[in-house]
Amino acid sequence: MESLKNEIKKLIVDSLGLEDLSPGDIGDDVPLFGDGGIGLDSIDALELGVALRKKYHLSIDSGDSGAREHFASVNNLVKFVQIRGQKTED
Amino acid sequence: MSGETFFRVPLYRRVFLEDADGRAATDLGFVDPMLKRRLSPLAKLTLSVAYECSKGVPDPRLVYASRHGEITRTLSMLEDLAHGEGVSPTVFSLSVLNATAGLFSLIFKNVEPTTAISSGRSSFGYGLLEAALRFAEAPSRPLLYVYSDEPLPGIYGEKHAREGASRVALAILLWEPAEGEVYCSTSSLNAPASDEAQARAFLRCFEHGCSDWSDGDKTWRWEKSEGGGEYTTAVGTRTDAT
Repeated sequence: MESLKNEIKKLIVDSLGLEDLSPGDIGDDVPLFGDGGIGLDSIDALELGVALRKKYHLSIDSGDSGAREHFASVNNLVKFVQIRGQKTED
Repeated sequence: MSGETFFRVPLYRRVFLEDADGRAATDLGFVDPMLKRRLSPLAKLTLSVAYECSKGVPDPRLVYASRHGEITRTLSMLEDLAHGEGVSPTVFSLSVLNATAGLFSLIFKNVEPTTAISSGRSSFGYGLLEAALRFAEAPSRPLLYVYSDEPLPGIYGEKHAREGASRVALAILLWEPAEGEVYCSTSSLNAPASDEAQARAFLRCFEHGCSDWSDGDKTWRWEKSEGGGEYTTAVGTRTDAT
């Protein structure tokens, strides 16, 4: 759980090119999108979707009304990956 | 038939940056950090010269020229597709030739019209012609011309190696009162094709007063003169029967 959390934080920093942040700077429950959090935007959401799909073989349906909820914070992403993900070998 | 084109470029300011090792120190303090992280090395260099060259003047119209544009991004998308992987939305959204021109508009909240030009080995020269033509439409207002290119990735072969091994960006502000001007002309002289990149040949005219470049078919010539004097609209063509 803890290692998956750190892995996802690292994935966020690396895939989105967040030069000024280290994985440890992202709080578990801090909002990733919008004001008052990390401040990611809609392109980041798509980019993160591609990265998650690649790493965990997630299928994210663009019509999934829960997507906003799954992507809201690191903790939510961890739950999402645990339920729906399938880690690739690398 | 052979033709000749000639035009004058009033030089208010010019800025040239070269990045041989991918580590050019560019001050991008004017770009929001959340946007800056998405910029390619070419976009960073391009925006740097654009910013330096247009500092303190009213919002300029923009002409952007590049032979290959964001070719490195395009290639990375093609590679992802070849490997059956998804395409990065960031890379996709910033891969087109006029992406950097669009970023310029967004960053400086400049809503003046923009043209993007690509024209083979002569992309720099035709971009400058477009800039002179558009400047002549309204010479009381500044026009920013920006050219940039980077070496083609190795997968495209050695054929283009002569175009130079570094990333370059050149910005010219066309406006009055000009510090000097460059008289540009093309002719159908049969000179052997030049080995250097066209923009570099252009820059030589500032050292030697005059320089030439040929694509093997058409020869370009640039002559520099000091002082501006009154700007006269001078873009034209001559056609000689041969």
